[in-house]
Amino acid sequence: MAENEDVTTVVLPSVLDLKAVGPLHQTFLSARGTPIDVNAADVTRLGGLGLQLLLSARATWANDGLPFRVSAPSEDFNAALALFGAQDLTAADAKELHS
Amino acid sequence: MDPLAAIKVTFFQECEEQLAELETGLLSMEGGDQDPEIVNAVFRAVHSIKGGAGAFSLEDLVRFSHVFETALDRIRSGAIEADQDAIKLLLRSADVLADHVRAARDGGTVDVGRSQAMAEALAALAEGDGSAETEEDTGDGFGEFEFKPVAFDMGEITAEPAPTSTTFNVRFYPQAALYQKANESALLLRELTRLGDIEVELDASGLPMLAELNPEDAYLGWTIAVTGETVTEAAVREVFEWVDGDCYLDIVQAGAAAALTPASEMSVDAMGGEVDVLALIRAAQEAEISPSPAVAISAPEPAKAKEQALDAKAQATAREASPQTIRVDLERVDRLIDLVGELVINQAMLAQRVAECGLQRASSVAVGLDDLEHLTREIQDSVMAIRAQPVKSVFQRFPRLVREIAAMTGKEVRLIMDGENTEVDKTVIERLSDPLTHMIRNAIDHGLEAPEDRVAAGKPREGVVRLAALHRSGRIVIEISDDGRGINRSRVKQIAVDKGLIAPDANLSDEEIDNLIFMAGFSTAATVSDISGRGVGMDVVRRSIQSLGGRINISSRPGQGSTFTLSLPLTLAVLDGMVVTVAGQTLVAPLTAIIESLQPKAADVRSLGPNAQVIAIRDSHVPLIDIGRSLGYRTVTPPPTEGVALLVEGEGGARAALMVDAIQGQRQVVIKSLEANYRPVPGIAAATILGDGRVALILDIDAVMVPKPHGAAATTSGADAVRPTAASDLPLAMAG
Repeated sequence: MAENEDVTTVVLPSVLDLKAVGPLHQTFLSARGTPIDVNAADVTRLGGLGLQLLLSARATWANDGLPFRVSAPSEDFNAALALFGAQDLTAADAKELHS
Repeated sequence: MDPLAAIKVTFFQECEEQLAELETGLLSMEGGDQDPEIVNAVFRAVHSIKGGAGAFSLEDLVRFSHVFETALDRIRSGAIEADQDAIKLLLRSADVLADHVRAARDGGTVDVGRSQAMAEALAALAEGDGSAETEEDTGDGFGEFEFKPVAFDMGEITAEPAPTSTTFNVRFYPQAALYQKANESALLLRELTRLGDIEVELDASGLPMLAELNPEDAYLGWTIAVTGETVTEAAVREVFEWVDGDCYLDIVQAGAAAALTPASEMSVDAMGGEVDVLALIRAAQEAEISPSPAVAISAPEPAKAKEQALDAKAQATAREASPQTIRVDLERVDRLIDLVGELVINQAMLAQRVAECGLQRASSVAVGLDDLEHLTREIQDSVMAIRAQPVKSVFQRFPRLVREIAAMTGKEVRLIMDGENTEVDKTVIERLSDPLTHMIRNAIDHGLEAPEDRVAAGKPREGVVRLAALHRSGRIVIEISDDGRGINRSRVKQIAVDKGLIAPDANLSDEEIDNLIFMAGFSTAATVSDISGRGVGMDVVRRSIQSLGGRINISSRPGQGSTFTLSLPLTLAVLDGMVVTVAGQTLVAPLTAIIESLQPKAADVRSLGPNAQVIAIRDSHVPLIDIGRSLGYRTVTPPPTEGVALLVEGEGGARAALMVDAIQGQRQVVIKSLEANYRPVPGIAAATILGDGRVALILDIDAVMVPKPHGAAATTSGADAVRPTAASDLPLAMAG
């Protein structure tokens, strides 16, 4: 996927909270229709709203039949996913959330 | 009200419920029910009261409930047997416990001597098996609980925890407000990790696709199993303290089937450190009955909308909890009822306006109005149902009353109650308490014989007083019966004659003699007793029942007992009525009293003396009463053939035909009190407001059925002598 020229890369902000989710939602919507690479390298704080946005995005991409990948997750990001019980978000072959 | 005071109010409300539970359980035990769950329920009731009382430092209450609880625990564990004497002691102790609760609530005092004696008797009972093994009592009852562990399986959830580990399953569904107030689910989950190990299960079943997603709304939920040696429900709850109103939260100890209701959560909170033990007891007992699976959250499905997820949550809650309730100020309900009453009147006015416009029945406006009427009626029924309560809330006071009166009179009495779950409007219930109390007192004091007399008469030593409630023809009927000596009619009649209440030569039927006891100032008691008052009782009882729009009847069989039957409306707010015209006035006759309406034929009407008429209806003759004349609207009765006769039946079963000029129609009317807004009017029960905005009077059928005396000569009749003729004696059905 990374080699694909059509891949849209979205770099997540460091704090994914109430303030961040609105703009990020728009970013995801405008990236619909292309494979996506979500870079989580800078994330220091992932909140519940951020998590649900990512989960919804992944489900939407899966529904569209397009690749969705979370790359370079930071330690904080992985720790937050574990805390939320959502570790499989970063799984390489991510299954559809709503299977 | 400050938060602590509010919690205290809730605690006392719950105490009343626990006391009722306690009494119900003890009465079941007295009746021979051996179900161990009843003993458990009884124990839990006392235990809960003690726990809450401890939190509020109500020391007397804690001390007494502690001794009580200890005795119950010994029974529960089988160390001592609950024989009839023991149960009687427990019942009396329940009375004392109730006194303690009320003293703590209202600031009064309890009978210290009685409480002390009862506590000693309970302590003696607890040691009743003679074993030297007694619990270590610190004396203050605070803090310690004699808890005997009962094995139950928590393995599935806790994955083999240390023997002392406890697991709480927390279901947490944040709402959007939680995030908007700058709170964060992640922080709450992290806080839980401080309490113990957590296993988190994410529920994303309500999460929509990106296009439908509102990024600031909340769609996710979590089920978290928190396991640790020191974890308590209070500690778990404390984590969520700041987000209390902004999330759906459910905390259940693993192995416990029942979720705590919001109300009990409050008192459990208040118990602080004791909650563990209480929860364990509950868990253990529930586990014995039905091993409960952990809360199952439905598997995620892509197309699920958020509403469906919420619905699933609600269903899951309903499965594991008893019906959810909220406490609402009565004033709010009453305000709602008033408004619905206005809505009904308004709807009737609108219907009238539409009718005046000459619109066809099939026109869309008329059809729409019909729908509105149905809807209005449904709203009204639903709102009235909010006020409906089981009569149990009144009935549950009587076992204690009976015990106390039995003790005072030296009689042996068994109270049998039926139909406690019969529902009736709260106002009716509240106003039933005094008259019923009086009648039960009378039944024991005057009705039942002394044990020796009963044996001599070939009856069991123990007398029976029966209290029953049932619905009949849209009314509630309450019967109070005893198997005592019955009414001594010759004595009753003699007393009435001696007091000048009836003429010495009055020729009265048995029923009329029985009804003499309802006359003001009548008393058959040779000495005024502490129990039954001063002989004004039955008169007051009758008035209070009549003020509720009710009737009271008595039937008595010498040597076999008496039965008092009260018949009351289910609600004091609305009435189905027949709207009629009489002498240019619009009146409403309660539909429940009307059997049929007919147009009299001249051949069927007969004169009876100068002022009375009867009408032949299917092989019987009933009095024909002109309402217009009876109420003083006119002095000359028009020919019966020009009007309509309503065949009505009074409470006692007597029938009469009421002459009206015309029938306007059948309608539901909102009852407005005449007594409160004007003054009592003979023959009129209440008033209502019609669709045209005019006030219409509601007939008091039983009152208008009573023939008025015509001249002095008529009053010599015994029948008239026992009937109320003064305005103050006539019944009025009231509503706010």
